[in-house]
Amino acid sequence: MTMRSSPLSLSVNGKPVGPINVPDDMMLLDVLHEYLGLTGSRVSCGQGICHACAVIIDGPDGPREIRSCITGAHFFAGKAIRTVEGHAERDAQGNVVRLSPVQQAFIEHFAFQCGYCTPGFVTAATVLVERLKTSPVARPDLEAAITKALGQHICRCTGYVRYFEAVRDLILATPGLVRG
Amino acid sequence: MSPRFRRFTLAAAVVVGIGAMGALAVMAGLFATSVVDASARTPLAKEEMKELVERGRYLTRAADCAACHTAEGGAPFAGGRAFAMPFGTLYSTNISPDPETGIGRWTRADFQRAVRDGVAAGGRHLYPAMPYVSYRDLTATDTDAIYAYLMSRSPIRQQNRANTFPFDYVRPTLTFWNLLHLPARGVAPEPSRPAAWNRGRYLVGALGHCGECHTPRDLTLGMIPSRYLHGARIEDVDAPDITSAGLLLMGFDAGSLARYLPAGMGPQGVMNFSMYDVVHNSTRYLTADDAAAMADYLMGSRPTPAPPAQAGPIPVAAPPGGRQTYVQLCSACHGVDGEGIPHVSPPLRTNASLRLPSPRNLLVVVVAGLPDRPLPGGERLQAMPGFGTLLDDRQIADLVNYLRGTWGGTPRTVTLDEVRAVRPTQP
Amino acid sequence: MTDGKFHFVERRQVVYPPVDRLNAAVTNYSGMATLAEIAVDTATGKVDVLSHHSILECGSQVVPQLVSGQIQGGLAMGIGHALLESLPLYEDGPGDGTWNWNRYRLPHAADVAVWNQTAEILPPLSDTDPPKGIAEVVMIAVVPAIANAVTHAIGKRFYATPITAEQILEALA
Repeated sequence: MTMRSSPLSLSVNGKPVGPINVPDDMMLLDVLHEYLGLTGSRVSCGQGICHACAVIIDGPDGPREIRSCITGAHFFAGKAIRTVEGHAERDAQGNVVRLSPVQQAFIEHFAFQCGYCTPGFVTAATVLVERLKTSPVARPDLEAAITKALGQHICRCTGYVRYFEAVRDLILATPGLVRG
Repeated sequence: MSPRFRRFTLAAAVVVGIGAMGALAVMAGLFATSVVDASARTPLAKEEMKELVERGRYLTRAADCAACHTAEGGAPFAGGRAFAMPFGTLYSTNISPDPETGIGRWTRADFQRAVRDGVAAGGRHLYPAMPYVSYRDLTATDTDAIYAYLMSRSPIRQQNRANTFPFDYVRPTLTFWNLLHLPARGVAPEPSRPAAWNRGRYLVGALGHCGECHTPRDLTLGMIPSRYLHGARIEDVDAPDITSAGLLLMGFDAGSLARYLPAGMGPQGVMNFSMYDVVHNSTRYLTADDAAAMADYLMGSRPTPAPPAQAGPIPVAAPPGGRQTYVQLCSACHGVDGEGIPHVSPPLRTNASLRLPSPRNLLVVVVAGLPDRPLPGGERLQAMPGFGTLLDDRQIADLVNYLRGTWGGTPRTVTLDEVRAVRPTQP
Repeated sequence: MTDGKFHFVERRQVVYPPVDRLNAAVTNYSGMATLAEIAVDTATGKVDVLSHHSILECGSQVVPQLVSGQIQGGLAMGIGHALLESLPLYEDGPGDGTWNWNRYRLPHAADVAVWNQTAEILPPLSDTDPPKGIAEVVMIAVVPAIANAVTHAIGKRFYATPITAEQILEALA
């Protein structure tokens, strides 16, 4: 059964993209890779388990993590997403001027090794940090909140510790995210 | 006081007196029948107990004692699982062989009386949450085997939790309930039927006690005999109709049902909600013969399997939104044509939830999702996300209408109210 | 709890294996030890890794953050090997091309005691103590540590990994 293609327009990393003709049953990850050249979000299990494909979808109730390998591209019509390529501040030529706080924390904590799962972790950590701004967490609940936000992501190299410590230290160092 | 009035008062007093004496007689157990015969009073010898353990292990699994008597995170058979009823909470009891807190001091006869008459050691009536109405049909030997197995396990010291009000005040009235709902005799094998049929009926009706969840109950919470296995609402979801008509509607035949019961998954779907515990604790251990006997009994022992119900696309004008939502959010795992991914996610094309008269179970799953669960044979279907936050009521109604209309052959239209009813209530 | 008593064996003769370069020219050995603390749910067979502590001797560290990251990663991999990663043989196993990470269960953060693990790295013997390879040794000690811990918890010993919940339930049935 051949699928029709339809035009798709959305916002990616703050910039409008499209309309591009995309098959109705194509997943967002394939559009990011094949049409937009944004290969930072990874293909890994391809069925929604490992979260290496996760990107941010920005909506009226705040940012959410969404798995781009199992979500159709046309779901994002008219919506705004952020991929790992969009987190750093860049100059007019596109060179990185400053990394996002999450990215910086990951580097300082030596949080990744091969880097394959890292964009997914950047997504999950960024969503957590941003959501804590509007609903801070009590200090004793912080570790559990981090495990809940990041715990579905699979990493084979690092054993997760440095990712989690980086996020915890970033949250503790950012005012307003932890109460009490 | 006029003579007539006096006569009337006297007559009323006599009637009330007889009624009160009758009630007391019922409560004293004078009308209760026991199916336990006198031979149970002879304790089993140690060698006899030992020999029965292996069989008792199998029967305890088939009877799924663990489902109620092992609490979430609790020790095996130590009790403590909470059952929230409309008027209070019951807690299951410790049936490990601990002498103080469990059944360590129970005799053979005590155990027989509890399981088959619903009377615990010491004469206390059990609430029919303990399915003694079904277990009444267990044979004495099978009950002895379960007793031997339970007595062979490690004793766990755990006090039984007290049931909340008004339960223990209601206990003496259970004799009345038993008069209404407890048959005087257990059901015996029918000689005119083949052995496999009787075995199937025994496994379904007695050991498996399937009727306890799959039969609707009346106001006194007794099973309605004429509606046996016709389905009931259990903890917010529907335990479906598993009469042969209900099973045919879901797409089963005897062969596929015999495979489904121990596997927990098949083209018709996956055992979820309370049935996940059933496959995990109980039906996965069934022998192939027993599973086949249950399937044959439930399907009505048709000599040739009836063809599964065909459910093709029907001309229901499904709004394009439903199909779009499906392709965008569901097809990556469930397939563009509802074919599923083997070992990863079930096919929807043949899924029973799409065919049930009520859309409720499907709505619950779409809104809340399902956890990833290991299934027998090394299978593990991955978690399904809930779409309650991503989709609004209209989108979910359109999606479920699309699914049921296209693959379930059900013309029923899901309403927004039905979607709202399955959303979790805000704290 | 079974035999919690340890028997200390008096070592009368310590023999290092002879140098055997095979193809890898390894002549220095790193030593790794791991202590694992677990809980076994006797009703479900599930094993929770509550905490673990490891001790590594690796000569001089070149990039300490990578050494520590490798320890954390290797421990996670070892926990997966000990408890989670089941690879059935023959036709129904992962060789048939239909397996993915729903059936081949990799360790997630909650499986590895992510907040409750520690490691110490013993100092080098001297300033000239050379650096030694550690990438594989870090995943080894945790496997028998967990296997021993399961035995200590339930009194039955297993001789193959992974030690799954099913196997534990069968042993306790």
